[in-house]
Amino acid sequence: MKKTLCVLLAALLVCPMLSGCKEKEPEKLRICFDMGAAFDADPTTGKSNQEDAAQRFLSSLDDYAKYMDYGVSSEEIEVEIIPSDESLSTEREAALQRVRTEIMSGGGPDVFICATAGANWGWGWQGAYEALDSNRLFPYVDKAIEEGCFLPLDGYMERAVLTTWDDMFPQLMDAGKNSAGEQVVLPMTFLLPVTMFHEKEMPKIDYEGLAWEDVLAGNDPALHYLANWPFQQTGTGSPTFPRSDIVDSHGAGLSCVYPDIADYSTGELAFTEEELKSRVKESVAAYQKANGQGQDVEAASAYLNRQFSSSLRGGNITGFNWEDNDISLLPLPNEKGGPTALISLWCAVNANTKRAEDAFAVVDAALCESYQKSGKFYYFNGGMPTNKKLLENQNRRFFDPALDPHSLTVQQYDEWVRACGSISAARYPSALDAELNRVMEDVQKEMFHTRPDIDPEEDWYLYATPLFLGGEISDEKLSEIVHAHYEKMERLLDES
Amino acid sequence: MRKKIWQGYLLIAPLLLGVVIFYAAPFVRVLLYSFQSGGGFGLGSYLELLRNNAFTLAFGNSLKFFAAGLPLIMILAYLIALLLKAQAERHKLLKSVFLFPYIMPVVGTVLLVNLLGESLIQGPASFWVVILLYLWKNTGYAVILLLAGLVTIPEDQYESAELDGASAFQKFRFITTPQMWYPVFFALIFSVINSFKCFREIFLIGGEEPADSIYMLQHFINNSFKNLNYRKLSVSSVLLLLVILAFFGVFYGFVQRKERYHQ
Repeated sequence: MKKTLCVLLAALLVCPMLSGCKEKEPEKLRICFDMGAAFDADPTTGKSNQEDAAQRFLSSLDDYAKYMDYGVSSEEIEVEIIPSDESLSTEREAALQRVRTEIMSGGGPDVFICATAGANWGWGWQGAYEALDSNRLFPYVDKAIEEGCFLPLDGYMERAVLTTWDDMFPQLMDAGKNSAGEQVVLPMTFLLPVTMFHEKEMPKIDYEGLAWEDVLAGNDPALHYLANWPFQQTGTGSPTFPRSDIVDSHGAGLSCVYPDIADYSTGELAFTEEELKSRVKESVAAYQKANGQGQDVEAASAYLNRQFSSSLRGGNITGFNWEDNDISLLPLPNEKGGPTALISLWCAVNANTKRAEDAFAVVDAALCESYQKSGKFYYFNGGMPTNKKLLENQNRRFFDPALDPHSLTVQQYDEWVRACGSISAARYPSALDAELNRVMEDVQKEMFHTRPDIDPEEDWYLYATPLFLGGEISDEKLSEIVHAHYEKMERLLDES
Repeated sequence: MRKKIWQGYLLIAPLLLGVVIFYAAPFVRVLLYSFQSGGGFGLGSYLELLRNNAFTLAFGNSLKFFAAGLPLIMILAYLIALLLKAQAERHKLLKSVFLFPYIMPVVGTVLLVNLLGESLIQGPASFWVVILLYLWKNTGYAVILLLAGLVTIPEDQYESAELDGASAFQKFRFITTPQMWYPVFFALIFSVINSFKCFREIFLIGGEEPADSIYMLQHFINNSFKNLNYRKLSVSSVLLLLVILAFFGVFYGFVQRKERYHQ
């Protein structure tokens, strides 16, 4: 009797497990949006911009479905939005953990549309890097590309209905290829470290072939401005020029001086600790020299914006009369010459997807000209579109849904195309970029606190950065700062 | 006989089913991931990981933590348990008091440690701070487990030894120790489990990227998971399992031998 009872009890315990088994419902195509922890909710509506952007994207898919044999309508799609508002950090953590577990177990969303750490560098002051450099769904996109997380798309791209791939900036598309040359990630927007001047006060500069070493050695006031770049930090504007209404200083800092920060296939940083130290030292010297001689006055009056692309975003548009101004752009060259573009928004198809054709239809729509030209795309707010035709002649429009459409003049567009044509490297910013920029941040802090007139307890962020002018940094302290950050970068790379 | 075996299997079926679905099957997948390397199948990921500085640092620190923490907690817990056994009748509340740190909310513990100051937590001394925290929090639990073993030793054995003129040390060596190997083994298993749980405190003190001296294997595994690097995550998990299995295997063999000798 006792045995029979035990057996019955065991059978009863197994039953609840079996009750979980049911007929599988047809699965919807899943699109996962991750805009990162600093993609704030719109304070006027209280609604997440990300959610808004996702819904608008879905409605576009319905418009495009009729043109595509393989298109999918929004009804067949399930949207997964990783919470981005900082107040939802616990929910964000939980959502990230769930999606990562799904991917690791061979499933996960079919399509990813994600922003990188670079996308929102202009959103905050202190702690901005902390908010941005960690906990993305794919913190190291370059590594994920090599690890085979995404589906190679070349075969599908040949059959694309909506997107003309030749319209994309090729240097940016190359950043989405794996070492076998397969296109696995499709960049959607990017940021370019480029300074904008009034053309009448700072005539066009010939920057072809210009490298970072030339900037340091140059005597031109505009080059002095560029030499200050590594010292520029998130949200603080320019150290030598006052923060203007239209400055939306997307902190690129020191990291843009490097075409690559790491080789993910060998797991090594692109520079040694000694090389980084001398790079920081020469930046400090160039900075002190330029500012000590007061040679930036001319550049200051001509200065408009440190980052042209960011001026086309949000409220910056209202601060500048685009129609009446001719501009000259000066990209920040990296060590090898030409600027490094930072990809801010990208999309890809999950390597685990069971619906590759449908998933590709989604990325085809996300990249196509008509969607990116529309106000719907504006909501992603990620930077400049990778489709070069979007700002061209009759297309040269950018949108703020709250305002009338704005246009670049022919002169402005030509300057933009010229600057983009000089791009020599493109990559996905990661925690390594943020760590590299923190080197300069710590150098600034140290210089700030060595000023005799500053209270050591003062928070350096409360002051405009020019206050660290006149401060000094010893070789020993500089070595210490570089060593700490270099070690951290090595560890981050080892963990990537 | 055959029917009895069948009934036995049926009885453990719910548990077995859970273990297979939630542990064994995922572990097979982890094993498969760990052997994936450069599009092929082999030991490449293992060799790559052994050259990875963050992994070797984390693995070394974890072994160091076991090497320092486990003997300390076992000795301390054993001493307290022996003392408690002698005093248990007089101070009944003592047993409960020892469990207080174990049930104390983790935030309170971390706040307590933070009072020690940033320099102590961020520097090389942080390793010993963490060891202290581990001992403080988990010794009581090991004490209770050992005490449970001690009270099962019949008192008449001690009484007859006393009549034979045995000293306290002789009683400990020839009566207590031989009968305590299994409880010690049991307490050791839980101390290892608790040492893994200690990661929660270390994480709250030092964050995802703590000082080098307290950068543990769980940090590496956690960060690899965050970076969606299945291979590193899988290989490090398999290596950790192998080390723990080897450790327990050796100790279990030792306990078995002692028990056989005792019988």
